Amino acid sequence: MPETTPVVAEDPEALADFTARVRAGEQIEAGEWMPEEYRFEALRLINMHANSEIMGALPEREWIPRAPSLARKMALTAKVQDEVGHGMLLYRVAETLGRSRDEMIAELVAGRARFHNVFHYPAETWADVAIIQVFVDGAAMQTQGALRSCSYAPYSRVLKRICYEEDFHIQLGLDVWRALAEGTPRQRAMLQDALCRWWTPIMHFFGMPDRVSPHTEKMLAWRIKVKSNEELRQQFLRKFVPIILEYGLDVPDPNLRWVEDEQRYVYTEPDWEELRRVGRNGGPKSAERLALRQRFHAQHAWVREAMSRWRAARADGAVA
Amino acid sequence: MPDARAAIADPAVRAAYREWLLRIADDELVIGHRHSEWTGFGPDIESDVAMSSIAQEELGHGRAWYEQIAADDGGDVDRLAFGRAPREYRHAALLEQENDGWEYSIVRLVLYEAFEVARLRLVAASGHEPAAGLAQTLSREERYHGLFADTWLTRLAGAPDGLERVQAALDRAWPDALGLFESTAADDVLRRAGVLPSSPGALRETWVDTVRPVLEQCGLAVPPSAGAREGGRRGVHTAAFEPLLVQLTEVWKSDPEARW
Amino acid sequence: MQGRHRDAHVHAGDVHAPDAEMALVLAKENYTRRDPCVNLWVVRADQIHATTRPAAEMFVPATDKSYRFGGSYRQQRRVLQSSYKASYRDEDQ
Repeated sequence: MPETTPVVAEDPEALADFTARVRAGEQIEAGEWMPEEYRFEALRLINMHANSEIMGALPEREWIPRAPSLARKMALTAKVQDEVGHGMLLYRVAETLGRSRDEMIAELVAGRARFHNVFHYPAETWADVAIIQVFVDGAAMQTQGALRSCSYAPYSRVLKRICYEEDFHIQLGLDVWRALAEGTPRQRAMLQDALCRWWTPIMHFFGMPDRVSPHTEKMLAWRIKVKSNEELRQQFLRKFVPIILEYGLDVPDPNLRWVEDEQRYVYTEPDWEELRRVGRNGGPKSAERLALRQRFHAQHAWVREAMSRWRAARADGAVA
Repeated sequence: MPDARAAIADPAVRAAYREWLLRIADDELVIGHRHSEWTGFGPDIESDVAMSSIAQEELGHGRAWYEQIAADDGGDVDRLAFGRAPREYRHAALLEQENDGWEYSIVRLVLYEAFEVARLRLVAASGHEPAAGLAQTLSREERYHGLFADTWLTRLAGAPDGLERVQAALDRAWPDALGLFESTAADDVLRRAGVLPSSPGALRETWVDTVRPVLEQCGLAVPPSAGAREGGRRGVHTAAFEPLLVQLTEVWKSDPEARW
Repeated sequence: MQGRHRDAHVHAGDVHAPDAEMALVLAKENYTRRDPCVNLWVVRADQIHATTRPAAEMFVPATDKSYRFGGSYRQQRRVLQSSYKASYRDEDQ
């Protein structure tokens, strides 16, 4: 999909009406008139969210075969299943904005689409499962929780279910986290190590502090964006730093501290260049994970073909 | 039929019964593990989700059977699932084979589910509690597994080059599937003691009667009834099992005393 | 999907599937993993007929329609006969 916003001359009356409705807190349904730029931005956001769920299944699924108890194995399978299911729901929403799922998946598999930065990193030990479930899902929960009040109704509806399930993931993750944090010294060390490795990607997760630009203003006015990147990052830190401290683990940033006067955390500025690189599918695991997706996509080409022939035969009434 | 409970008082019968339950538990654990490998990689998103549920349920069934065994042994469920040597596992070869394509996994699911339903019915009919009650409960979930498998099989085999692929998968899976019915001395002990109302041989006839029409309706040729790959029920496994077990137990074995 | 017997079916979502039979099989695990369900319906998306969005307006009453609601009569009674005991109709409900 093109990276730049389309320039379309919109009907000024329709545009004004649309903007007024959105400003008044109304939501837009699938199939209603919307400015091309709105469609483009909403689609870009939702398509990337869908991609991220599908790619986000990969780091954790590596630990399904190795989960250390039957209960953990079932719960982790169910958790990854939810992520895949979110992908399904989100691609459906994206489809209402004009792209087919097949097209979006083909683009993702070909490495031409983007997905969230955190899913470009390795999941090296069992403790990574805890970090992903608590902190990555916790971070996602801030963004998605805010977007429940976005202006596109089908997205907003689906986010309600997604957030409900993400909450289960965080609880599940906290249970794994607790077992490790209160476990043997080796288990604790594993957890601390995973936390250190994931800290930067998680700080990156919310993106760079927003520039004050007409584009950001418009996204906020149209409620395709609901809170600023920095607001979401602060919201996340307020909820999740206490969990680290409660279990006596070290926050991986020595400069992180709460500033009472400003009611915010200050932290070491992460390397934003790394985020840009990772975002362009240049992360440590981007190529490997895309190659895996490609392998299965190619392996299943005949299955997809078989299903579409079956569908066509049914539609013709050729198969009873 | 002699009273099952009284029969179980005999240590030899008791051991044979444990052996039998362990087969069920191990079958479910190993197939659940294989199915779970599809999570994230299904041929379409909806089926990925559905197959994942099936994996979770098979693992859950495995755990329920291990619980019954562990309750008798006084042991721990995870130790039973993760802490044995390869030769101590009692599942059949069919369940440990790698997922060699979606069509293979679907064929395996069709063959295994038909067997599992028949086996659960046998256990339920034994009247020996608590196993009979558990078998009754678990069959509820197997129904969907069978439905999912049959629905997919029909559609895969209905494709122009699908039939050939599915037939190849079936030919590959068949000898291993026949190995599900492998009988050991334990079966004789249980039958003589009247713990089980019928033999694995009878189970096999029921199974063939179930799968034959399903396969033939898809235009598939049912492979010959000879050449069962046995050994699984005696702890002799194929090359596919060891890597599976290494992966399955990797984290647990790094510290079996730890709480994970 | 129908949550319990005798409940009305409610829309849960959609799936991609090659036919209705497969759609039912897939809908079960995609939409009823956590919520209780006793029955599913599927229908092809292109077989759904809907009113248009702008038509929402025609559903909004333009005049007072409170005469259609029992509550408004109870209210009137309360105003007219202050001694009127709590309506038997309320007790029914």
